[in-house]
Amino acid sequence: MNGFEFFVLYRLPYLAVPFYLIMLSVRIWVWMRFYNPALKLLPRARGSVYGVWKQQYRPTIHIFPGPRLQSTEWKRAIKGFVFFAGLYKRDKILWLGSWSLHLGLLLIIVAHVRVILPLDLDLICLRVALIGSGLMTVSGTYLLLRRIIIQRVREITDFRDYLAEVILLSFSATAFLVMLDGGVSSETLRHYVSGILMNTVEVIEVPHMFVWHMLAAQLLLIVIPFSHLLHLGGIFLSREFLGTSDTFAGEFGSGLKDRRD
Amino acid sequence: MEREKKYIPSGLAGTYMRRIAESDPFVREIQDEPSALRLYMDTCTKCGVCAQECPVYYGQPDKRMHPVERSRQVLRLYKKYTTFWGRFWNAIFPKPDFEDNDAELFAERMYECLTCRRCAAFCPVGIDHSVISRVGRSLVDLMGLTPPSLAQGTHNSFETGNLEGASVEAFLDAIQFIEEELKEETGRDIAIPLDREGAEIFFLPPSGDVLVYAENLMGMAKIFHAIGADWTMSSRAFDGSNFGFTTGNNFSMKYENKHYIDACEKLGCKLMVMGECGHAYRVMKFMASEGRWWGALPFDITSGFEYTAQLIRTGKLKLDPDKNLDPVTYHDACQFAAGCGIVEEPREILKAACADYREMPDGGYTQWCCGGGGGLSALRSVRAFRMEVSGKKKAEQMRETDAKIVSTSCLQCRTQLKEIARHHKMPLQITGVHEMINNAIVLE
Repeated sequence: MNGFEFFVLYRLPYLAVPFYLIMLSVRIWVWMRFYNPALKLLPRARGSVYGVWKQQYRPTIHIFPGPRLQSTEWKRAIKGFVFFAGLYKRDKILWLGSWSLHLGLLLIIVAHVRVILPLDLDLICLRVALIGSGLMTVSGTYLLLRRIIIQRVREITDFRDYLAEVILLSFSATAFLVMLDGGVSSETLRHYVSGILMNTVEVIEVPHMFVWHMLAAQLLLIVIPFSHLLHLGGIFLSREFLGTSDTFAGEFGSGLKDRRD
Repeated sequence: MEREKKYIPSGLAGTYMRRIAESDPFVREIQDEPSALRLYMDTCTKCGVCAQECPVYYGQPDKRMHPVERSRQVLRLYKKYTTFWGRFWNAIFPKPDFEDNDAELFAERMYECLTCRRCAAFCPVGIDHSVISRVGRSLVDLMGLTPPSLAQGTHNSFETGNLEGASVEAFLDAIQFIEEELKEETGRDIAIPLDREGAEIFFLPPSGDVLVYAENLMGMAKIFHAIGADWTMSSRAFDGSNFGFTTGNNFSMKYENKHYIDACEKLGCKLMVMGECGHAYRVMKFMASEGRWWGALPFDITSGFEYTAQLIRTGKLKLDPDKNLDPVTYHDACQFAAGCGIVEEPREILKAACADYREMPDGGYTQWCCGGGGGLSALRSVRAFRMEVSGKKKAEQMRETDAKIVSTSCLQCRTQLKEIARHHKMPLQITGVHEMINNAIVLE
């Protein structure tokens, strides 16, 4: 193991993970802040930070106000957040690219549960990760190319956006290459993670590409709080601002049907 | 005081908060309003969908008109003044507040957004650039750079209770004239009651419907007459509009609204029916009332569209669609559609009152703005922009419907659509929705 591999596998996680958690918390704090953020520190400020935030009335932002059944609201939320239905209705090619990218990411995350589950899921998880990383790489490449080619996207894109997407693409591509190389067994991963948690260097036998994958993953954690990749968390708060799931589901207003209900 | 009331608690904690509150009004204005501002800019994926749907970008597809780029102008001020790193870097490498150090250019750009919220309807992550533009406009207002006609309207509203700054005498003359017109047209004494204490309904049209386009008010007066409603208007608060909302000046927005709340309370009415102004209705119903700006209100609030549509549904109004034979289409005003969710009611009215109703392409909740939204139609200085850029899509749509009449629910849209029709040489008549009722109602 050379110095670079040692740093990436055994030292960088102590920087990247806390950095990610702290910066993400700061971001959420900023989003939820109102005129005087110190107010949230008061012990009796109407409960939690979220409770205080929720009570700020934002009528200037609510869109398509009107009566909706709770079931309608839920259906639209699920359609919007799970299937990106609103985007599907507007731009099918972009939908295909972004939905499959998120699906790929989800598959990759799901494949990692084998590390914490006391079951032998290696075979299935490696296949899921292979599909997920492949999907993510293809769709990520499309989204990056779209950013470069389409004028209305290119003209608002800056260096940070390209950097974030390149890192994301490196993350998925290296994951894909690791999988092609046979992947890493649960046993090895558990060994590695427990070593990190216990602050002991547990030497593991992994494909060389795994080091690059770990580097990309940790860089990703570092850039997420400063990049547009942050929308993964912000989207739920923006729904709260708009006061409806209509925009995400691409179905608007209460509709006559609901009124009759 | 207003800010303190909204955010800072009373008592000892409040005293502490007030001590550490930001003193610079410019900074406070950016910090204060939306935590949404920062959330929006952090979560924007820069996918370009907003530009695809923006009427302004459609008319002129370049970077300057891009909603994200416009919002970035506000965000850089936010970062510079309110974030640690923004302040830190600015201390080391000071940068001007505005691009090209030009505050007027900044003001111009904030008034290139129509605040129609079409971007919000389609943004995959739910970003509403109109909210950010409104913060930008509030900064423009603080700098005294609000376009003069809007600033004057806001001033008039604040001082006199109506945009035009019309006197009570002028209002009374106009009402008398409208009553005479009604008499001449119908042969009946259809009164427009004023300042009648204890009336059930307080009707509040925008002043333009009294002083300029009287047909809407005539239509409403006929409706009240037909159902025998107990209604009144106020000679003190006869303008249901709101320019403070448009200019981003929250103080004006709230106090313009207070005029007619006071009038309705004083007269002891139980229901406020508001006329064809989406800004005023949105502020009244969804901000003042729901946000309890002035406490719990002792009356209900509804729009003329909801009120009339309900009468039609319940068969209380008799309409003769043959009185409106020409093909009619409806242009959704942004504030009514996106801001208030009122889309079906005007259609129900028009379908009942007109023989040939046609839908405008993309009409409904996600309509395209007429190009005069966000107060732009009141600005002569940007007429070329309104005709060729922001109104380009609407001109195409109006042509596509092949209608002879375009009915709309907002005075600003009406002005803009008239100008578009004239500019693009389309032989179209632009009307209000209740104007069509005025023609079609059957009085027994």
